[in-house]
Amino acid sequence: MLLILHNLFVDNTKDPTVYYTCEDTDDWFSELNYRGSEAFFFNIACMNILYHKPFTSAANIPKAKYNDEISNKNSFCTFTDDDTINNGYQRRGFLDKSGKILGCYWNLIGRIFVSADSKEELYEFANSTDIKFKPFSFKSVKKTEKKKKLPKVDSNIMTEYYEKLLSFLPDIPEKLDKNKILKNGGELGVKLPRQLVDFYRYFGSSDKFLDSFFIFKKLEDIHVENNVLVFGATNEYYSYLGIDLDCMYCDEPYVTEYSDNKCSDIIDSYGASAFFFNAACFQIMNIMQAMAVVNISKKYFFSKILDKKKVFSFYDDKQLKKGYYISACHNEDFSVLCCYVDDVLYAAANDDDILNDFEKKTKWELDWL
Amino acid sequence: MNIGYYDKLLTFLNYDVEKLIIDNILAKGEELGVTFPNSLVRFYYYFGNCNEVLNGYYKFFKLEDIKIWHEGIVFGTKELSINYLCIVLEETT
Repeated sequence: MLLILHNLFVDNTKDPTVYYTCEDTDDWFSELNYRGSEAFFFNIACMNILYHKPFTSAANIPKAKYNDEISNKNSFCTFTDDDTINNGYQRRGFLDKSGKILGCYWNLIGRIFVSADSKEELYEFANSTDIKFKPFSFKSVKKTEKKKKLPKVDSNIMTEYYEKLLSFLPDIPEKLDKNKILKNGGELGVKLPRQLVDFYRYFGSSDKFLDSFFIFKKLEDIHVENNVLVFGATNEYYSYLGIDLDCMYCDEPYVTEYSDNKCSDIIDSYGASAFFFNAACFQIMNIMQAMAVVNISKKYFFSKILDKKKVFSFYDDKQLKKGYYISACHNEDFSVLCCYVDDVLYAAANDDDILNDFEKKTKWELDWL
Repeated sequence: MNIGYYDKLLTFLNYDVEKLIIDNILAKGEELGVTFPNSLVRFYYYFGNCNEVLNGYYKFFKLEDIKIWHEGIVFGTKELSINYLCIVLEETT
């Protein structure tokens, strides 16, 4: 028994990485900056104990300032001198000098949490620092509703669709380097989902594209807010678009729409592949030369119009076709790009004559925009 | 490795936690046909009986519910997340 204990607690030969996975996939996903399970288990144990403490406060504090506090040991102490534990995971546990305050710094979102068993202890500690702590409760934080897992969408097929989309653009943008995009994610401490990487690879270099309807951030402006990877907003900043980091490491993450820029109030969520592709179509339509609309009911559109020799879906996949409130489609020879949105079919072309021909062939009375 | 920091962390729980028996943790690994990494054994030794630590922002499985899935040791989830937490077997050997 002693030998086992000795081996367990003295031998430190292996420190495997902790990964994420989800059902229906063979893949493993790791967050960047993971340096092993030792740091993971200890720091998450800290976080979980803190989670249940009756009194908790939090403050936003930049990483550099946190590091100063720790290195100067003004208020905080690390549990150990082992940097593998102290720096090895996105959440870092610490305690105060009295040993009564348990803390955790979440470096990805730049927030520090402190907790105690009594309000007085917490108050006294907070006053001993120059950090402006505010009362905080994990239980009151609005979380993403647990969603069903979405099936994986083949990235090669998505690439084919994006290639087809390019042909509708009057000026084809220069593709961004995939590694550069991933590096941007690395700087945020996250591995960007491939759906977002593909989207930015094809269109990230075109400012005209990025804000033609939705307001997509430039690659370098994508940031993490309240544990959400924020990459844009809907038109006129009606709502904000992001991916919840807690649900990001899977084959098909959800894109979530928030009513506030702090990403705390959720409006709805959509599969990432469906969102990015259909949103890309609508962005392109809004920079094409001619656009017109016709009212068609949803039932009629999906049962009688789509794929019935008038307009065609880019894909057979139901998830892509109906996974977002915009459904992209095109005419037979790929000269007219269409999007069906809320009982209205939008059609766009790069020449008025093409759209006129389309109107004659479909026998629809289009309202020109 | 100095494990004093785990003992220090225990003081933040307001009750005594009965530690798991190490042989039982290792036996679970054997039952699954794998050798658990020390980090996982250490965590479960200290907190495998502590519901508070097992069920916080992250949810850890009870020892008996740890499973092998897609060549990995799956041991928990994030709160409300669709992701499972796992250690890839290839990295443990």
